[in-house]
Amino acid sequence: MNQQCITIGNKLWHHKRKICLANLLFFLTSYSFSQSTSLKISADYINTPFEDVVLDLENRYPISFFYDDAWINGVEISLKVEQSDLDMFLKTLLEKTNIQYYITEDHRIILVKGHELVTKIPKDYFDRIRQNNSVANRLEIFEDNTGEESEIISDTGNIQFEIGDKNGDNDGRTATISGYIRNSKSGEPLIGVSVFKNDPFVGVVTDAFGYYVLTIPKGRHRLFFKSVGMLETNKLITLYGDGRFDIEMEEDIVSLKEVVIQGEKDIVDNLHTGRVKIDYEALKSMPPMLGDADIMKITLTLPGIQSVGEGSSGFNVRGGAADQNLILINDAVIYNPNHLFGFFSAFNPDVIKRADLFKSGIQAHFGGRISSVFDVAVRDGNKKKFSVSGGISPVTGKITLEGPIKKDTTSFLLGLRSTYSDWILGQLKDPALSNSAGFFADAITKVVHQIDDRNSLTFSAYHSRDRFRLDSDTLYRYFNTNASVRWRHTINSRLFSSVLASYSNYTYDLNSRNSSSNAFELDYSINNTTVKSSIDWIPDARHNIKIGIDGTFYNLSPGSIKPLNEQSVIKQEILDKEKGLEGAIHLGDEFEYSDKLSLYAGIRFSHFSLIGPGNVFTYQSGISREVDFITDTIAFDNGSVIKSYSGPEYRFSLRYKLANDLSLKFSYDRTRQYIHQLTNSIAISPTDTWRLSNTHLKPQIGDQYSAGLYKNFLNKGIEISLEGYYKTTKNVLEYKDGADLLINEVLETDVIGATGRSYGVEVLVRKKVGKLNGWISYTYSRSEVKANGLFEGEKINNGKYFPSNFDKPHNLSFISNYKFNRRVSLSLNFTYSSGRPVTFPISTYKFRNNVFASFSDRNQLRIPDYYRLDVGINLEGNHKVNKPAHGSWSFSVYNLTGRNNVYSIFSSSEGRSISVNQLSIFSVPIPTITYNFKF
Amino acid sequence: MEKKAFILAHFFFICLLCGCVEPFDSEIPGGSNFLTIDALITDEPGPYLVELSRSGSLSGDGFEPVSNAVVSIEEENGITEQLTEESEGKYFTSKTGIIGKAGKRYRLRVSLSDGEVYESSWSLLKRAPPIDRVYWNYEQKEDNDGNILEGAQLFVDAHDPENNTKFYKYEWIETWTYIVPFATALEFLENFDIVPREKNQICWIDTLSSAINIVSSLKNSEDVVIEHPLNFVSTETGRLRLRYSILVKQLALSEEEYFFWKSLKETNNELGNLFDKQPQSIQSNIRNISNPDQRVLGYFSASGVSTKRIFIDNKDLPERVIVKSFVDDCELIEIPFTQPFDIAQKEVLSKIRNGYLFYDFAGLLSPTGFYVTKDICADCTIKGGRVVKPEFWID
Repeated sequence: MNQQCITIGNKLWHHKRKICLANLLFFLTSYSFSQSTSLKISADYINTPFEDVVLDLENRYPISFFYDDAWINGVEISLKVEQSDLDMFLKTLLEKTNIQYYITEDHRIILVKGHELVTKIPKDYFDRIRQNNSVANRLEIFEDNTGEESEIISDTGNIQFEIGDKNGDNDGRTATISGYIRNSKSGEPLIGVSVFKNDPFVGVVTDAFGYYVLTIPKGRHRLFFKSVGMLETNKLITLYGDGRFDIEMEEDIVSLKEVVIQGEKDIVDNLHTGRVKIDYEALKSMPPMLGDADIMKITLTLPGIQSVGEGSSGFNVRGGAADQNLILINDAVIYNPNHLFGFFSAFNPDVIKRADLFKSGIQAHFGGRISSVFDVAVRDGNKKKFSVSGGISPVTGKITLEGPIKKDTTSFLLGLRSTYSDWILGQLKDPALSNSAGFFADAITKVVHQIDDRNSLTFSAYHSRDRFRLDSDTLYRYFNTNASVRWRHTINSRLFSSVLASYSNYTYDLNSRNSSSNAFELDYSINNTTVKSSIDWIPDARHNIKIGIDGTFYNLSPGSIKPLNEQSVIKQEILDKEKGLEGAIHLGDEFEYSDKLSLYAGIRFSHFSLIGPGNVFTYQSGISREVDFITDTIAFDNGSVIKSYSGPEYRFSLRYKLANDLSLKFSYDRTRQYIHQLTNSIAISPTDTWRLSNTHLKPQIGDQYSAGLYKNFLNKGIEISLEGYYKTTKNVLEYKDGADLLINEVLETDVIGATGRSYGVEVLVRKKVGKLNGWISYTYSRSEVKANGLFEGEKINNGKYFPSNFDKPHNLSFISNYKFNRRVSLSLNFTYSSGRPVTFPISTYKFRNNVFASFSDRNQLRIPDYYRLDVGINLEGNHKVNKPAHGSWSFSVYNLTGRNNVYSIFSSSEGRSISVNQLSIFSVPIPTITYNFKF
Repeated sequence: MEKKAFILAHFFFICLLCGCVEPFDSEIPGGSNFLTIDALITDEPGPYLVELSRSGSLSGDGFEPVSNAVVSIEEENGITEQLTEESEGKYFTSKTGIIGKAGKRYRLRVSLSDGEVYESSWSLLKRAPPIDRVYWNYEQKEDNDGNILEGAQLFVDAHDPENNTKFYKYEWIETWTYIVPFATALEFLENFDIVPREKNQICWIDTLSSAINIVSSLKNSEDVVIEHPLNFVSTETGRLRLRYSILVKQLALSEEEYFFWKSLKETNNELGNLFDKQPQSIQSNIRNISNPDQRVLGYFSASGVSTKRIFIDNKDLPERVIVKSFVDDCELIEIPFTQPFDIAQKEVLSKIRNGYLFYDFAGLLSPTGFYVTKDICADCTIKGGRVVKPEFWID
């Protein structure tokens, strides 16, 4: 028989003496109601701990006790009896507690808190069962209990739920249960909850909507529900056929600050390579920088993810450029994921539920970018009650409002964040500073509406604005705006549909008013409207099929420059709008071939058309594309197709379990990208522009092979993963020397289609539980580019492979969080990386009455290595569940050692002397204090 | 108090954005010594100079001249002239030789004594339209250290009615005159004799522009240059103390040369802030024929030139303006006569050896000592000026 542990009440008995279901059932069924026994007990205790009493009694008499430690914790016994009978003795022993006892014939004593065991079940229970013999005969419990008419139903945990129509079709041995799991307090769907039964183990994990589908044999089962941060629960069910089973789980206040970074499934079980999930709790345990924990910063500590340097806003995944990441917030694209050049990310940490990063093993339903998908999800508003939380630091202030619009059905969440730098700068007397500006604000909202059991609607919207002026008179501003609506419909327990419509817009402008004759304004904007529809079909427990169709319409104003007054000699120039349509169909299947082997195979077929009106320049053949060599201009009408590209994108993943805690994975991805970001600065600056593929700019194509080994140690307490990859990219854009990419009508004359290759090995060791948790990650990787055009001026570094801007071979991160107790935790983070490649002067020369610097070939030298140590302390208020307001303080120091990390190297010549200078950002320790509150 | 701390924290934050700029403190790998070719032909009469040297170290030394090369300039479908090395590494055309003509294309060819041959691409010499106007405004400006400076900001206007120039480069020669307060007419010799000497009180001095000043009218609706800033003449420099003149040269560039200068300027002059373009190795229009991958520094330019001169007189400046003297901190130091006499004489000599000049005898009625003063205060040529009034100078 099985060795499964039973629960009584809602608590799992985790005492050393676990009661096992089989035994319990056995002795309960053989239990006689008389409760009389011939055993006589003598005892004499004075303030003896209950545990010692038990030990003493067990030593002296042939009895044994079963109970949960928690119930008797701190209970002391004073009692004196002589030759008392056992029943009487126990009554006396327990009279001041609310613990009930039961004695079995073989002198086992079972203690139960708070509830009297109901030893009867509903009268018609077995009648109902028997009417349905074909099922009942297969219910193992009945096999155990043939002829017995006793059953335990102590409280909700043991209430038996009947699922499926017991009078219905009884063919087949298995049935499918599906349903939503929600937070009992906020009503928010819970993601990543493990739903399983034991013996044999069958389990699934809830998806992004808190939805699960579990196929198990018909009959009686105990279903367990486990999730980090939630109290474990379990339910007893009797499964007759396919049916719906929704659960609410309670928050576990104690584990409020647990660090969790995990794959959707256990790292060993998950089918795909290159998956990372970062959730709110992990985020909260990072030392905040300038008052905010930052999801980008934490992402950068994971293997395979790098940035060009501090203050650069994009990130690079496995040697890919920053524009090759699909960054989504609530399913809508965000084009500029940063505030203040990346010192803050666009994502307000207070509203983030989790972020998923796909470095490889990208399923077919994702497309549009070739390196990665960074999918940020905002949590649902509280469905039960209204609440306000917020925080304040010397730089930013933020507030989050949430609550039900209609209790249990509709909720909203609104997060607002802003700096107040401009106000401060205005207070300063120094004109240099009061003329500077540095401001950002963002707002995010999400409304979730549960229409009925089968339909739900989610609406979300995001807006951000940035404004800054550095040591110039030029004011930069940029704005992100996006919105999405998703309708999710459950057709039946095996078929689900989802329809998504989203809109994203990114705009920036620059204006300079200093000189009346050169006053100008420059504008740029891009927007896209996307509709996605997909169907998930789970034909049986082994297949999970997703099929869908996506369509995206792009509309760009690639730049305009206008004089700001009549004196200005700036010529008005407005580049033609670009319009494009990207469509894709996709099909993928996750197939569990056996316990050991799982596969994913998917295909996406994408198509892109650049749509008129527009002009295409024809260049003289046999020579580098230059303005001087334009031979013809072809004009296209509104709505006509200027140029089309299409191609298949294959996705494949495989997982083979070598052992229960050891798996081997492989994946291959082909990805296509029809949109390009142009920058020849080192970082993504707000003046970088996105352009669509056209006659001359071909789509970027990526191919990645990835393989890895994954292992759990110490009962999943420690995870180790080792992944390697090899990736090639085609048609990535490199710039000719001195290219000017702003307001450029003939972009093709300034860029070269280059080939990229990158490869690397990533190691991650994570400790997820215990007082000390965190991870160590190490990456060795290379990223190289080759620009070897046919003509003069289309070669960089003589057409040989050279390191890309983000080729940083060694990366090491150490992230740790130590909990002294539930209220105080300390985090300490260390990051190291090789210096990135740069081009800087190697000699000087005399030319035209001046001395100039001569630079090395592109990216042939490196800046010094980067390292940084951060420390943070979090002080929580107390964790009383019913306290009206929670407050917490966090103190942190960024760059504790004040390491002067070099960001860039540049030279300047004045008169006859060349000086080589280094620019560093954050070269001093930066302390911050933040107060967060919630009520 | 609390507010102060708050503002301080914020100030800190803003400073982060400014970043921190320091001299690069790691070892810079030295480059090999590349051939540098500095060559220019214009439509002004020659002789034209081609200078060959080797690149130097980052600290700015080296620049070894390259001698014994065969250098020639060729006009497309025209004459080829071989240049003569007049001093080490300096090759000149003859006075009666080649003259650049607008509309023609030119090419430079250099054969080094080691057999390597270098050749430029053909460069079109474009006529430069006349400069319409060079003018100035009295302005205030902030220098890199945050000091507020006052002075004359010069501007240029030009236009090309033929719409053909589009790319302009400006160079200039500044000339100003200055006087020294204690111009000496006497010389104190080693043997203590005092003899008459030429009195150098008023001088003219030149300086050549070194900044790269280029502009393109490409983005303007017409081929015009309006209010394009040239140099700023600060009152601190003393150039405006008496009378100042500037000769502005306008060079018509090819698009290719414009971008060459633009890259050179971007990589060499612009301060590194976060969004600067990537530095780059700059492509010359000269190549090693047998080894095209070899790096060659410099450029062969062919440019039409037009010029314009203006003067700025001290009295043109606003009245309140006080211009610092070009020769500053001048005072007479008296070395009293001593007993024995040669002690004082020796002291005068030692002063002279340390950058002083004898000015005159001290004393109202009868000499009581020697006056010495810093050499720059006693002879205007010491500061680099010349006493002959330039031909163009109009008082």
